[in-house]
This record gives sequence, structure tokens and C-alpha cells, in this order.
Amino acid sequence: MGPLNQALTLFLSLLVEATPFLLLGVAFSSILAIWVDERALVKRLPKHPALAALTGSLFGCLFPVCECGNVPVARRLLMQGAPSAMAIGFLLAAPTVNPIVFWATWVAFRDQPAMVFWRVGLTVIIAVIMGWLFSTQKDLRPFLQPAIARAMAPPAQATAVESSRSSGNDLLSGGTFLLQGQGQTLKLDAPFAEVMGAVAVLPQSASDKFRAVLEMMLQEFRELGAVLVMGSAIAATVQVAIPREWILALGQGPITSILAMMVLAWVVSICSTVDSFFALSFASVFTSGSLLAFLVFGPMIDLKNISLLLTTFKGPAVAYLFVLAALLTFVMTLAVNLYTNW
Amino acid sequence: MSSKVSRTRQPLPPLAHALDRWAWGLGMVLVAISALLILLGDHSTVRVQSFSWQSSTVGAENTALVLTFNRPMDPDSISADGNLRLTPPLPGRISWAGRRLVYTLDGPAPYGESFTLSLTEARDRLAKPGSNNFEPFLGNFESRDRAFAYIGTEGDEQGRLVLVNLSQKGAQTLLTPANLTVLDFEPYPLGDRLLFSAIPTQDALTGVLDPTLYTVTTGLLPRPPQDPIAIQQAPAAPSNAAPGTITEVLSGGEYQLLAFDLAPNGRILVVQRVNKSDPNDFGAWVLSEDQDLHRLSTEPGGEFLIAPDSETLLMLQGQGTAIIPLNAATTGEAEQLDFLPEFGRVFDLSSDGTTAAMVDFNQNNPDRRFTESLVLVNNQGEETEVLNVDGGISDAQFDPTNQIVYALASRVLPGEDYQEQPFLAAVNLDSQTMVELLTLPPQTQATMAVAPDGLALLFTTIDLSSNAATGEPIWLLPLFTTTADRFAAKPTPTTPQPLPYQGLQPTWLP
Repeated sequence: MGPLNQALTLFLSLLVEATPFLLLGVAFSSILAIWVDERALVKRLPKHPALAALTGSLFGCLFPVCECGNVPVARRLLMQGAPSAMAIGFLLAAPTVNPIVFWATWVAFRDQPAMVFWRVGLTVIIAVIMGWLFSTQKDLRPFLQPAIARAMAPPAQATAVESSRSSGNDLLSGGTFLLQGQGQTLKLDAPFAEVMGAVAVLPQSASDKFRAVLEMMLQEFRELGAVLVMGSAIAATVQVAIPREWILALGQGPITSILAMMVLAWVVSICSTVDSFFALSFASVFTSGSLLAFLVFGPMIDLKNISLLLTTFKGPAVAYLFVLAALLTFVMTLAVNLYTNW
Repeated sequence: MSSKVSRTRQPLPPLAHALDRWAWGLGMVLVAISALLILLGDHSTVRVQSFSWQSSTVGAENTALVLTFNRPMDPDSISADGNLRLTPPLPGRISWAGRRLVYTLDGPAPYGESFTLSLTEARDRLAKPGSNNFEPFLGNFESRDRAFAYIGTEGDEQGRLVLVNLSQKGAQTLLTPANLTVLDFEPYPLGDRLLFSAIPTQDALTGVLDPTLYTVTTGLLPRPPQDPIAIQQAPAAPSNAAPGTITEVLSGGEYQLLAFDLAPNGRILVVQRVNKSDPNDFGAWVLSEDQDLHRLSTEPGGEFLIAPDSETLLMLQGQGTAIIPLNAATTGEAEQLDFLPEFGRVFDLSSDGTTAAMVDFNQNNPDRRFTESLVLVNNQGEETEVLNVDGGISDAQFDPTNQIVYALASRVLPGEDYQEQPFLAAVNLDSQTMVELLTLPPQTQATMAVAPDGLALLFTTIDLSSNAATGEPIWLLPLFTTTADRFAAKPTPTTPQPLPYQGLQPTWLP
């Protein structure tokens, strides 16, 4: 099989594997946007950054999405005004802390059941630390893509609706506008999230809401689906360019095995729902800590979902997420390898 | 407004935001911790993470134990005749599957013993020469009790199931009540229960024969190991400790129970029944754990036996033996897998299911008329005759290692009166050599049962010339005199020992 064929196979398999979860993610995100009143939501959420991050991490149990489906939901949480600690906690932990992944890891590592608890425990700890870190930034908008930042309420100020539905001042700027009642306009060529934020309060009856959810799902899926195609193509190309054997040759010692498995997790971009079976095939020759690193780091950041993250966060924020999640995983699994007999 | 413009136009100073500062700070701290961890070195120990037989009760079907290490190991650092030690010794071979060491026994562990496994030193694959960070391991397990059951013939035991546990100094337990007369029985795979057919004792006197199937607990509670490499998992560990608890499985109703066989996995039961009011309504029925009783849609037949895979049935049909899939009962179509026209009886199948011990009555061979042959037929269709006698062959059983077949046969004594003399023979399947282990008095009928660990067999005899069918004890015949003989599969004739029990159909618990 030539490299092109191989890349195409990898690309299609990544896409086929990720698409249903992305669809699930945009479905949850749209339902969250249409059905859940953001003010009520924000009021009920814990204010303390650590608690908020922990709540976000455990949200995965409600929204069982993998790392392709969590981006739209995390983005929606940010736009709905949820604390940033919570959105980051959800973003990093939801692909692991959910019933499907529990079960899959349990089945795969039947003779090492502790793997499930280590995996979930370390993921939650890393998600809470990262959530806390992001909560130090009171106004996260400088780190978000402009479209998201605009749709997002500034801290303790007006809601997204007002930023988009103006009282006519926008007529001074260019663009396509829809004239609303009472002299209000809606800017139609504004970024999608902004428009949806603006119309989200409109549907009242259940059937209207249902239609709005469908429309929003379609829009978001089109937007993120295209990004996913790009991400999968990049991941497939890198996998063909850097053969797995090279990565595995990094080493099998207590330190090098962790590095090898983290690089492998990043490159293969495999979904968190099935990655434990993939990791199992390395269980015979790699240390437990390195398998753990694969299972913890892989679902947080990988080559395929970096492009999805870039639809929400600006470069520096993605870099912080990536580098710090990697460092935290490395330090923790290194401690596991060097100090535990597990 | 002016400040806003300047903020967007001019580049921000490095680390202008709180997040930048905290992120860089955390990054530095983490790099420092990593460096510290690496400098402080490896403090973990290499150890055995799990031992598949730890604190469990193994039986003859458990042929391999598995040690799982927490690190990939250096295979050369562990050897079967060196640091990996089983006490008492159980010869075997080591193989590796990643971090798992698999030790395959050469033969089943002798029953009724406790074993320890010790591994004092070993190295992981990346260990530096001279480093000793292995945590010595000591495990223990035991083999099942050496026990058998029989149908009593004397006094209080008459018609009742009796359990004898040789590992507990031959303690006897009456399992069934006096108001039931047991006709036939078969043990479940762990020996925790027996399946038996019985009639009320008052019916035994009137001659009404309408048996019901029951199970009875034996009080033995083996803890089977969870074998990580087995394809089929062992049956769940039994929980009922009280011996003699009886549960009805199948009552006669409008059918009369004729015969039954329990699958080796204990989950499927085949019964042969006939309609009491319509003798043409006759055939085999299947009762499984997850399905109600249903008819096996095949020709009615005679004797039958479920194969070791618990999925196929061997049944005498017409002049030969048919092999029928048991799951066909669920799909409704019972297509015969095979038909062996020459063989009139199947005695036993090897535990791996590849070979059957069958009898050829030699009806198609004029030179050998009136002789019987014991033939081994394997799943490739190859037939090997291992024994030919001018009397009859009444039983044949494989030993658990499938290296020997034991046969109970008879030869005709010269003279005017027709007299048959039974004998017990062992045939080594590799060398095709036969050893006669025992010769019994003429005109006796004998039964035999090979122990699950293959070290001994039980037999009974009934003197056909006298009418008194009782008074003969159950005999125990040790099969090997030395361990070397055992592993070479060379049984030697020894003197049988009479046991202080009298009864029919002595059967070892698996």
C-alpha cells in the first residue's frame, strides 16, 4: 500500500470515527443554547474556580462526547457565560470522565482495573489545575477568537443579545442587515455564533425550539465539520510522514516510554472511546505509567482537535492548553512510574 | 476611545495578561519538578502484579498459571528449574506473552494438595546489571479434593447417593434422602453439585418407573481461578455450602425420562424422553441455562454423549454414530455434522475434543467376525485400532493428558463352556503399547472410573454367576508407581486396594 493510500485510509478512518461524536457534540451544544436559560445556568454554577473546574470536569457524565464533540459544547458554555474554569475543565476532562469511556477502559484493562481510576483521577486533577489557571484571567476574551469573544458577554455586563441586536448604530458600518421591529437591526453576515446568540432567545414554542436546534446543529456542524476534515487530513499526513515505529523507538524505559506514548497519542488522534483498546496492544511492552500518559493526554489534546480548538481559542491559549496539559501529564505519570509499584 | 485604539494597534508587552504570567510560571515549576523527579531516580520495585491461581482451587482443566508483572521482564532472568519454584513440584514449561509469564503444567496437579509458588529474584528488561529491585513473590493455591460419589446398595445407603471425600480421611456423606431411590447421576464440572434421576422409594417396590431429575449440593466449594488466557471462563464459584440441598430440574409429566447427559460446562443438559401415552413420540430434548426445554430436531437414537466443547452431541443412530450440533435446537435445523457408519458405540472423547474412543463390531470384515475393536477416531477422520478382543469391550476412557486410553474388555476363555474373562488394559497412544493392568475373575461384570488427575481409577465388580449382586467393595487401583512413569504415560500393574464402601457406579468428582 502506497503512502497516499495509507494516508487516505487513516484520514477516512479518523473522520468516520470522529464525525458521529462531533454531531453529538453540536447537538448538545445547540440544545444547551436553545433550551437552557443562561442566566439560570450561571446563577447555579459554583463561583470558586476549583469547584467550577471540577463541576465542568464532571459534566462529561451528562454529555458523553469525545475530544471531537467537546469543543462545541465548551464553546457554548463560554458563550452562555459559564465561568472559564468550568469550560476549560469540561474541555479537558469530558472526553475521559464519561460513562462510555469508563466502560471501554474497564473492558480493555480487565486485569488492570486500577487503570480506570488512575485515568479518571489524573484527568480530573489536570482539568481542575488548568481550569483554575484559566480563571486567573478575569476577561478571557483576548484569548478567544473574535467571533466567540463578540458573542460572549463581557464580565458582569450586558448579554450577547445586546452586542448583536443594536439600535441602528450599525447602519453606519457595512454589511447585510435585517430590519427588526422598533428600529432594531440584525447583522446577517456577522459570525454565526453571534447571530445565533442573537436569535436564540426568540423561539418560544417547543416546535420552534426544535427547529431552531436543528438549524443551529446544521450550521455548527458545517462549520466544525470542515475544520475536522482539515484536522483529520493533517493527522493522517503526519502519521504517514512519521511512522509509528519511530515514535515507539523513543524508548521503553520509565521516562522515555512516557514520552513515546504521549507523542503517539498526539499523533494518532484516536477517539477517547476506543483509545483504551489501542493502548492495550502496547500493554505488554510499555510501562503502566506510559499507558496512563497515553490515556490521559490523548483525549485532552491531539493533532486532529487542535484545529477544532483554534476555532474557539487564539494561538497562545491553545499553546498553553497543549504545553501545560502535556507537562502535567508527564510529571504525574513519571511519578507513577518512578514511585509506585503499580 | 483613544486608549482602546492604542491597545489594538500597538503590540502588547510580553506577559501582559494574568493568564500569560501564570501559565509561564506553572510551566517553569513543572519543568523543574520533572528534572527533580528524573534526577532522584527510580524508586519503584519490580513485582508480580497478579497471580491467576492465587488462593484458588484448581482442577484438572486448569493447565496453565499466569504471573503478570508490573514491568516488561527479562525472560532469561526466570527459569522453571531455577528461581521459579513450585512446592510440591509440578513440572511444566515457561512461555511469555508480553508482561505475562505463562507456566503450562505437563500434567494436571494431583488432587487434594496445597501448593506454594515462589519467585525469589527476577530482572525487568531495562534493569541495569547488578540492580536488585525485585520484590520476592510467594503465592499459594490448592487442588480440588479427591472425592467420589456412588449409589449405595447396603443398609441405610440403599438407593441413596453417597459422597466420599478421600482428602478428608474418607469421610462419607449421605446426600439424598431415604424417600428417593437414585437411578443414575452425573457430577457438575466443579463437583459442587450432582445431577441425578430418582424415583420415590415406594414406587421402586411397585415397579412404576417415572424418574424426575434433581440436583443435589455436595458441600464442596472449590474457588475456580479466573484464567486470563482461557477462551471459556470457568463456571461461577458455587455458594451453597450445605450438602444435600435438593432442587428439582425436570419432572416427568406426560413424558418418561429415559436417559440424560450433562454438558462438560454444566450449562446444557440433553435428556431422552418418551411420551407415556404415545411411544412414537420419542427423542432427545435440550435444556440449557438460558432456554426452556426444547426438542432436538433429529432422528431418534440410542446412547448419546455431549462432546467436551458442550456444543455437539454424539448419538447412536441406526447402525452408526451421528454428530449433531446442539445449537441447532435453537435455529430449528439440525444438520448432521458427520456420520460414522461403522461405529456402534462411543465411550469417551479426549478432553480437547479431537479424538473419540469408539467400538467397531467388525461386521463388515468376515475375518474378524465376532470380535470387537477399540478404535480411536480423530477429527481428521483418521482411525487407529488400539485393541481387538474376541470377547467384548465394555468401557474406554481417556486419561486427562490424552496420552493414555484405559479399556475394560474381555476375552473368551478356551473350553466348552462359553466364559468371558474381563481385564483392564492401558494403551499408550504415542507408542501404541498395551499394558494389562488387571485380570478379573471369569464371568464378572465390571465398571471403571479414571480419576480426574489421572493417578488412580475406581472399579467395581459384580459376579454374574452368583445371584447375590452385593457384597463386593469399591476398589481403588493406583496407576503409577513413580512420578517419572506418570510423566512418561507408562502405567504399571499394581495391587488394587479395597475401599470400605459398597455401591454402584462410583464416579469421581471432576
